[in-house]
Amino acid sequence: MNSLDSTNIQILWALGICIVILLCAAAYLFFLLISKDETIQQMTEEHNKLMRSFNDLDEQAKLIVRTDLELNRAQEELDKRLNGLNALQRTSHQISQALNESEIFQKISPSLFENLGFVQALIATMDDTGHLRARTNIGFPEARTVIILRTIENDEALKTALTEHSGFSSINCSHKTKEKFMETFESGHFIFSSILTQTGNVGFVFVGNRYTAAPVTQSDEELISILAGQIGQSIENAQLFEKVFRSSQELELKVKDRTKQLAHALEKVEDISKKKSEFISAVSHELRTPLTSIKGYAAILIAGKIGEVPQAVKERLAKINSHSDNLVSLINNLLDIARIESGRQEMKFDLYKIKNILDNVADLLTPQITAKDIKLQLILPDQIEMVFADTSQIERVFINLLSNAIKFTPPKGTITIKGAPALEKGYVVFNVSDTGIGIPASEIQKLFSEFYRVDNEINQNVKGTGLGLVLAKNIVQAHHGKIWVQSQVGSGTSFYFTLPVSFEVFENNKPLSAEP
Amino acid sequence: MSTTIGIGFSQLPDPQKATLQACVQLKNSLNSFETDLIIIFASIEYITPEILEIIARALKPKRLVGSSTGAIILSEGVTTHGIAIVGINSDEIRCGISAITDIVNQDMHATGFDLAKKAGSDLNLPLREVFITFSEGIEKDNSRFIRGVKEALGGGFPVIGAISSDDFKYRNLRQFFQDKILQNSVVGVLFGGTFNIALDCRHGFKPLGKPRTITRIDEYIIRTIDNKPAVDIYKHFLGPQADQLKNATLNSHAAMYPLGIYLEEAKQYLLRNIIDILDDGSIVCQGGIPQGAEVHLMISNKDSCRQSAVTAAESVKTALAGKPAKLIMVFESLARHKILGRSVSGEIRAIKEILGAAVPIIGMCSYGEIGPFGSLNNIKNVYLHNESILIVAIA
Repeated sequence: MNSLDSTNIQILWALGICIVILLCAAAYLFFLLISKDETIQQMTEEHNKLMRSFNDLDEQAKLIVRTDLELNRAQEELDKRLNGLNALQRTSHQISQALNESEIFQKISPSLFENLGFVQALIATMDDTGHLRARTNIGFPEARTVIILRTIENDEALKTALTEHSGFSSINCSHKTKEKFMETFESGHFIFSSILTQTGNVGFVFVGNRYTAAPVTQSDEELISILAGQIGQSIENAQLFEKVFRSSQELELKVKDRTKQLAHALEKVEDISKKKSEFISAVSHELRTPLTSIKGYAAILIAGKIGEVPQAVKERLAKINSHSDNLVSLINNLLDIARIESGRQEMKFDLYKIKNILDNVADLLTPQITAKDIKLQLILPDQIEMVFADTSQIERVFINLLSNAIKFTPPKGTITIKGAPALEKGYVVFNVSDTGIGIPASEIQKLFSEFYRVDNEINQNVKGTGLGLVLAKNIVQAHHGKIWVQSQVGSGTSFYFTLPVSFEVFENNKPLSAEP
Repeated sequence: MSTTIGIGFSQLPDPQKATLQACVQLKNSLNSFETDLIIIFASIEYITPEILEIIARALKPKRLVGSSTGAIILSEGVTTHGIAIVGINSDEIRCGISAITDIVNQDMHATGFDLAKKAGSDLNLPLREVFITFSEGIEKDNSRFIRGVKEALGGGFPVIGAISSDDFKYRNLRQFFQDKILQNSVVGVLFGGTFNIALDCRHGFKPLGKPRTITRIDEYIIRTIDNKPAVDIYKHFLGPQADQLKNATLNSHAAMYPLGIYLEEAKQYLLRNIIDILDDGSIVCQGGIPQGAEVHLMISNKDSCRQSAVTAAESVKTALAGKPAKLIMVFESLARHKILGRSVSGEIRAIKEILGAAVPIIGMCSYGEIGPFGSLNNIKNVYLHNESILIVAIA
C-alpha cells in the first residue's frame, strides 16, 4: 500500500510538475504572443507611417511639379522676351544703317529668329510687278518658299488676310485663316505682320513654330510687329537714300561734265595765252631790233656825227629817243611777262637777306621819294630775316609797287614797307602801303589785268604801260606766293604779297599745275 | 604622324550654295586633295540629293557618314538650321564605315552585329578605339542592337551614337552613307589607330515622388504602372496639363518630366521621353524599357542640366590626362533644349571653357544618345539614353 501510495504520489508530483511546466509554457507563449502582436502593431504603424510619407512625398512632388511648371513658363516667357528684345535691338540698329533694300535683308540673320524663339521665318516684299519676292527665308527649302508665295498670290482668302490686316497670329485669327496658314506654311503656331511704309503695305514678316512648340504669346506678336515696323522704316530710309544718292550722282555727273568743259576751256585759254605770249615775245623781238636802230640813228643825228641838225629837228629827235625808250621799256616788260608765264624765264632762287633787297630798292627810288617829300617807313621785325627768292625779280616787284605808291601818293605823304610772318606757315608777308588817293572797289578786281590802268586823274597825266602789276603778280606766283590788294578811296592803298622763307616751303607749295 | 581636322558650316538659304560654302571652308582648313573621313550634320531643309555630289566633287571623301538633325552643335553654340561638315585627314586615326538599310523588319541583334562586322572589315586594323552609330529605327529594341554590336566588337568595347533627328516631326530622319541619303537605316563608323578617346554621358535629372512599378509593357509602350493606366502617373503630377502629352511629340511637358527607369545593374536612372499617350492611357516612350522596372517621374532645371554637361566635360578632361583634344563631338538630346531654352549655347560655352577654347566642337541634337552611364569605366553597360548629353573627345 505504502509502495503504491508512494508511486501514486510520485506520479501526482510528476503530473503536477508537468502541469506547472505546461502552465509556464502557456504563460510564456501567451506573453510571447502579446509581445509579437505589439511588434506587429508597431510594424504596421511604421508601415503606415512610411506609406503616409511616400504618399506625402508624392503630394509634395506634385506641388513641386506644378510650381516648376509655373516657374518654367514664367522663366521661358521672360527669357524669350529678354533675348528677343536684345536680338531685335541689335538687328534694328544694323538694318537702320542699311543703304539699300538688299542690305536690309542681308543683315537679318537666322539667329534673330532663333533668339525670338521661332524656327521658321519668311520675309517677302512686293516687287514692281506686284509679285511677292522672298527676301529672308529660314527653315523653308527654297522650292517650298516659291510654292508658299505663289499659293498666297493665288488664294484670295490668304491674299485678303495679308493685305487687309496689319498683323495677326495663330492665337487671334479666325479658325479658317489659321487652318489656311498652318497648311500653307506647315507651321503649328505662327505670327504674321505686314511691312507698312508711307506708300502702304509692301510685304510681310511671317514667323512660325512646329506643332510641338508652345503657342505664341502676345509679347511675341509685339516683338514681330516691332521688327516689321523697323523693316518698313528701313526700307523707306533706303529708298530715300537711294533717291538722294541718285540725285547726288546725277549732280556729280553734271559737275564732272562742267569741270571737263571748263578744263577744256581753260586748256584753250592757256593755249591762247601761250600763243599770245609767244606772239608778244616774237613781236617784241622783232620790234626791239628796228627800235634799237631807230634809237641809234636818232642818237647819231642828235650828236651831229653826220652834220649839224637844226634845233627844231634836235628837239624832235630827242622826242623820238624818249618815245623809243618808253617803247623799249614796254617791250621789255611784255617780254618778261611772256617769259615768266611760259616758264622760260630762268629764275635764280636762293636764300637772301630781306634787308639787303629793301635797301637796294630804297636806294634806287630815293630820288623820286625825295622829290615828292614822301616819308618812307621800313618796319621789319628781327625774326623776318631771309627769303627764298630770285633777288633781282623780287626787287622788280618792290620797285613796281613802290613806283605806283610814289606816283599816287601826294607830296609829304607816307609810304610804309612792312614785313611780318604770314598766316601760311613758312611764308613772310610784305605790305607796301601808301597814303595816296586809293582805288575804287570796282577797279580792284581788274588791277592785275594786262594793260589795265585805273581811270583817275594821275593816270591820265602820267604815262604807264599797265603791265607793272601783272609782272609783279607773275613774279610772286613764280615764287609760289600770293599777291592781293586792299584799298580805300581817299585813304590809300596796301599791296600784300607773300614769299617763302626756305627751299622746303617753296617746294612743298608748288602749284598743282607745276607738278610733274 | 599628323592629324588635320576641320569643320565647315553654312546657313546660306540655298542648300547647294550652303554646302559649297561649307566645303570651301573645310577645304581651306584641311588643305588637301582628298579627305579620309567626312561626317555631315544637316538640318532637314539642307538635305537634297545634290549636296552629296557637291561634297564628292569638292572634298573627294574616301568615307562619308552623317545624319539629319534638329539642331547642329558648333563651337559657337547651337543652331537649328544649316549644314556642318567635319573632315578628318590623319595617319593616326583610321576608320571603317558601314550601313544597314531597311531595318524596320530586321532582327536588331543581327543588325548591330552585321553593322559592326562590316565596319571592322572596312577598317581592317586590329587597333580599334570606338564605334559611333547614327541611326533611325533601333529605338524600340535598342538593347538587342547594342548587344549585337558588342558581340561583334567585344563586351568592353566603347559603343556610342546618336539617333537621327529632325524638326520634331519624326518623318524626315535621314542618314548619310557615301553617296547615298538613307532612311530607316543605321550607319556606323569604327575608329582605330593610335589615338586616345575619352567620353562621358550624363543627364542631370532627379527622381520625384514614390517609386512605382511598370506592371505591363510592350517593347516601348508602357501599358500599366502599378496596375493602373500608365498615363495616371502624369495625371497625378501634372493634373489637367497631362492632356497636352497626347499627340504632342516631345512637347515641353514631356521633355521636362521624362520617366526615370531605375537600373539595378548601373544604380542609375535611365531616362525615357514620352512621345505620345494612347487612348487606353498607355505611354509611348522614345526607347525600350524592361518589364517590372521601378519607375519615377524625373525633374531637372537649367542649372542641373548645365551642371551635368560641366561634370561630363570635366570627366572627359580628367580622362584625357593632359593630352590635348583634337576634336570634341557632342551628341545631345534635342528634348533638353526644352529645358535649357535659349541657354543651350551656354552649355556648349561651358564645355569649351573646360576642354579648351581652341578645340573644335561639332555635334548634333538627337532623339536618343547611345553610351554608358558616365565615363568609359562603365562602358560594359551601354544604353540608349534620352535627355542626355554625350561628350566624346579625340586626342
